[in-house]
Amino acid sequence: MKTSQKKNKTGRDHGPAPFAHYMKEKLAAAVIIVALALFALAGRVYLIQRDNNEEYNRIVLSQRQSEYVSQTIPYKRGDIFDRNGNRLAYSEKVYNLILDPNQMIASEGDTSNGQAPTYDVVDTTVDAVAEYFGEERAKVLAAVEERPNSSYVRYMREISYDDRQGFLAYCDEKEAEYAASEDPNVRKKRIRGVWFEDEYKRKYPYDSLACNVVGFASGDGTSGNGGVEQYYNDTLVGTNGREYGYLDDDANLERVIKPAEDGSSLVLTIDATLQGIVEKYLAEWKNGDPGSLSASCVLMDPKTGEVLAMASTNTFDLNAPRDTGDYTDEEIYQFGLEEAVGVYRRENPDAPAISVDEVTSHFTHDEIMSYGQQVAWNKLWRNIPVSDTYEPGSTQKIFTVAGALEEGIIKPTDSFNCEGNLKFNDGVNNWTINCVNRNGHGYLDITGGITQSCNVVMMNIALLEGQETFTKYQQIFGFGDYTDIDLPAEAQGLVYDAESMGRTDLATNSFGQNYTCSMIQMAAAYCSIVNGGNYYQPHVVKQILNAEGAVAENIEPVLVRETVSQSTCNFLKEALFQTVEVGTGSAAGVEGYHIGGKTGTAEKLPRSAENYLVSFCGFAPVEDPQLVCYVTVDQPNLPGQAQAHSSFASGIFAKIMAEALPALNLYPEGMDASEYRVPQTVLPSGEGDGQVVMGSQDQESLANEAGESGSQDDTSEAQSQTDAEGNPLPPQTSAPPATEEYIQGGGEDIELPEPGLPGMQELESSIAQSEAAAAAAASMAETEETESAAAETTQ
Amino acid sequence: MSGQARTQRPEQAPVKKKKHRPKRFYDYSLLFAVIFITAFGLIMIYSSSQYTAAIQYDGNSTYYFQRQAIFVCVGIIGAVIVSKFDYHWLKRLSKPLYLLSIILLLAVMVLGVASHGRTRWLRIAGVQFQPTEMAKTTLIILLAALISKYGYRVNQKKYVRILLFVAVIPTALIGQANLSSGIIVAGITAMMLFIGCKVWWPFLTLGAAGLAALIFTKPLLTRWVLANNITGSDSYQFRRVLAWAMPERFTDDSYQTLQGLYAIGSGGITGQGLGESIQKFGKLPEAQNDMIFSIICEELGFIGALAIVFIFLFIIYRLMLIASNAPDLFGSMLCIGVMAHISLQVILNIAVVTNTIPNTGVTLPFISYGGSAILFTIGEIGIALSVSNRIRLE
Repeated sequence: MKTSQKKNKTGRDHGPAPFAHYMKEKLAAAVIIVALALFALAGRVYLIQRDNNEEYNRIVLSQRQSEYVSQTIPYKRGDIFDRNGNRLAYSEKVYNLILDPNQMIASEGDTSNGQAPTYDVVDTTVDAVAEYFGEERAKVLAAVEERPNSSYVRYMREISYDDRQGFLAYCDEKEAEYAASEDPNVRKKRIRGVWFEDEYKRKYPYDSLACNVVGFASGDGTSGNGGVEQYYNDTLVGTNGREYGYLDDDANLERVIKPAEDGSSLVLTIDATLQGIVEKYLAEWKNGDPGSLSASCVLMDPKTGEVLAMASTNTFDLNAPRDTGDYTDEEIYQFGLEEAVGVYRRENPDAPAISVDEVTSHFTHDEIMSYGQQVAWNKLWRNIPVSDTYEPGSTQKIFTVAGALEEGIIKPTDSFNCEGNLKFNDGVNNWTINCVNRNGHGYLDITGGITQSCNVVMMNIALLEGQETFTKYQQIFGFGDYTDIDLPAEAQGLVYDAESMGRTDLATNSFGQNYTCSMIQMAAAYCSIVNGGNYYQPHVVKQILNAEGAVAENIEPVLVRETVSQSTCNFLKEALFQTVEVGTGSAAGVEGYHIGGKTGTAEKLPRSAENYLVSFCGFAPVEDPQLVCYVTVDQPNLPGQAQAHSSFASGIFAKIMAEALPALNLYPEGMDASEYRVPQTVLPSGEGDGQVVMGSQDQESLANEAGESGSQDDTSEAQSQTDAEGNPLPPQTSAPPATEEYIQGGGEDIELPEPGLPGMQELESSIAQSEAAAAAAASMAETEETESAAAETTQ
Repeated sequence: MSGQARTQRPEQAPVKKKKHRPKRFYDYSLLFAVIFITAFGLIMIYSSSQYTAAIQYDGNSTYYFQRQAIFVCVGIIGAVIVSKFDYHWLKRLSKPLYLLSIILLLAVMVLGVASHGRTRWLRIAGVQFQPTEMAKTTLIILLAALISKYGYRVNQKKYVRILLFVAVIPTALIGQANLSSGIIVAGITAMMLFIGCKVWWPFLTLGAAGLAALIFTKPLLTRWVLANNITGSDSYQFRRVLAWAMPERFTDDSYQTLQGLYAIGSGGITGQGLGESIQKFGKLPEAQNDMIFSIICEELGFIGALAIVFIFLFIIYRLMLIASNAPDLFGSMLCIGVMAHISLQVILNIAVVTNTIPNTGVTLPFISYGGSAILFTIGEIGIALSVSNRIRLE
């Protein structure tokens, strides 16, 4: 740049203030200083990058990645259907309202330099949420202001689809209204930073139906509690999807949506109709008189081992499983007191145990209530048919016979003389084990032994079999082993092995005392007899459907083993048919059907408490069995031996079968579907004439009346009869047709040995009110009662 | 005043023969350097602000870019127009302009739009603008006018006092609300005086003291903080000093600084590539404003940062040349003032971004977002161009 600057200065220009030489020097110096400073700063930039490049890079990337709200897309838990496609459980999509205060505030525009907000976002959005959802405005605003930097504040949960759509429409409407406004302040309003997150809520449309089989899922749908919800949890759950950002090779943030994989659905073997029938009659029993501690029923298809219905009087609403409404606070408190004693013992193993009265000094009221709550839940949620074991009683008898027939130890035509009891000596004590008929049945053939439920016949057969054979057949029929049913918390039951089994044990086992089993074991074993000798693994799930609803897996019946031969089965089926036709099981008969079955009346431990579990296991039709139904009634609400009427169970059985068989398109003889009327109307009212041999109802009403009278003051004849020795008396009539099996207390000489299974002692001692009492010998006997006698008793 | 009459002579004689008409210089290099750097600034503003703009302005990612582009265009056209006028009219306007800016500074204290308890903005006819930026320019003009008026008398204490007095008023008014701008105004005054006055030692002493403070404050402060277990301070300014000395300890106040450093550090030698900044995604506050240099470092690396430094050095060099060759002292001092303004802002901005000095809000001239700032800085370039246009070529 050539200039005339010098000339300006030295020549024509003689201004008062020329740009002096020193100024030039200082200007150059200033520029040099500036340049040096800039180079120094550039050097500093270089140093920062050289020294921290990797570290800062990492920080930047991790900050970026963490900042991108990685959002979970929840999977849908699989549905649960019954075998006919009724939806027992499903997950409904609900929405969570998420506030994003960070976005709300940012959307107001740049206010960092003191500019007024460009948009009015926070107030507008808070207003919209408060107004639409009827929330308190201050509460919404507080949620926003509490965490202004957060992008995720879950404000409301479980909003329905309609509410969500409604809110979105409401927002659109409001925005349009703002945009069209004349007022510039209104035009600045925006609704921002609100969105909905998906979530699923588990619903059980049939509430308590099949509650113990279905179970319930946790709130987030990741786990199940009880039933198939628990057992098949891994199948029902899916994989959460994810919306996330990742940094690609060029450190670009890529947004990726990985969709959720929904869980598979289950098709149960349960038939909701049958389940409903079963639950109806169990509830009727429970709410009726006398009722019982509990009653349970398993309905199975003998040809496949499929469980068609499984229920007990323990029911709860799957939609509100923690509602202990059936228990009063006092009851729960009492549970809590008892539980607290155990808790104290576990927590202070060295300290002396405390009694129930002392609990309050160690635990607060809330703690006791909390324990009680848990106990109450466990009671409610307990799936009795699978989780509880008990001494089955006479239903065992057919397996005693089956083993002996199969091994050729006895022939169907063999007969035994029943003199009322058998005497044993186990080396320590002498035991006299009574038959149901203390006077003895006289000579009975094998069929007679079953139809009359004769203990002596069974004991003789078992003694002929010996321990080896008897235990072998227990094992073959699945007693003492898990059935591997696809339900959680299965109980195994306790049985003897051949070595430890004494003669008295063998004798009592032969009629179903002194070992324990679960209902599902007993029902599955019956199925194998009924279907001709095939033991199928009992199961409750038939199919697994994938998320699209297509069949992913068919669960075929699993043939575990062959139990006994066809001929043995045929013999036993005939015997069971006879039992219902002419024997102790007549109360189980249903008009128009050929029904077979066996009663059971078991005395519970401790024997001294004289509590009974009565049961009936039957099937129909005898010619082509379609249904096995096993009903147990645990401790009817009657004193002592008044409980011991198997007709309580066979009555329920008959009612269930009368309605269940038509539901399976099996109509009474001589009728077809068009003639068949709904079962409720077919069932006799109990006041009908004796011609209607829906004996169940008659027996039921009789039993009820007997129960009533048993619990009343000793004014009635029946009461005086039963209370003469504190026990019901055997009927005095001679050789009547047997219609019911019930236990009759004997004298001091009639003793049923205490179980020799150590595990069983332990198990039962937990049930026992007092172990000392358990040590005392209890007596048990079975006897027969004529219909007339029963009628007489209830006069 | 005589200078003005003299320089106007050629224009008053258009009828003269063409060969007698003196050729005039016009510093196109400076003009194009400034156009280039503002265009580059626009690109960087778009890159650094698109994400936040989209959030803040209803998905309008070009919000900041568009606004800045308008200001840049208006500013450049304005600068070219200003450059075609004779800068001597500024001499006459210097005092009224100065008074106006003082009034506006007072007005902003009373009427200004508040933000974070500070008032820096004035809204006039719907347009917000910062009187601070205007005050810088008007002070440069007034100081240039006074120095050229006093000539060599500027070396006398009496006149220095007058100059200092003139400068102190806006410095105090600005500095009480915005320390960094106050420092820049003081710095401009110091640099103009440094060049205008013959003495060296006061300036050298001042410079040495500043350098020493910069070097020794950090270790001393660190020791003091650790010894007394200081966890914070009520003073906003002092907290920034603490954050500067120990950014890892005072993270509440050093957030922006640290994020800026992360951006610079992650850039490396060649950077992540234009538009590839990660820190601009909401992490770095004021990414398009005070902290834009860190985004430049992140995207373009050390090489890009060095290029920016060289462009600024070139602009400063051109301003130095114009100052050296200006037809009179007023022109020289105007250019020196502009140069001082730009170089101080650049140095302070980069120093803040690299945590060399405590964090104060200083924008990077021509590049940072901000309407008032870009208008007045480009306007100052227009004045410098006007001075260059008075240089007669042989």
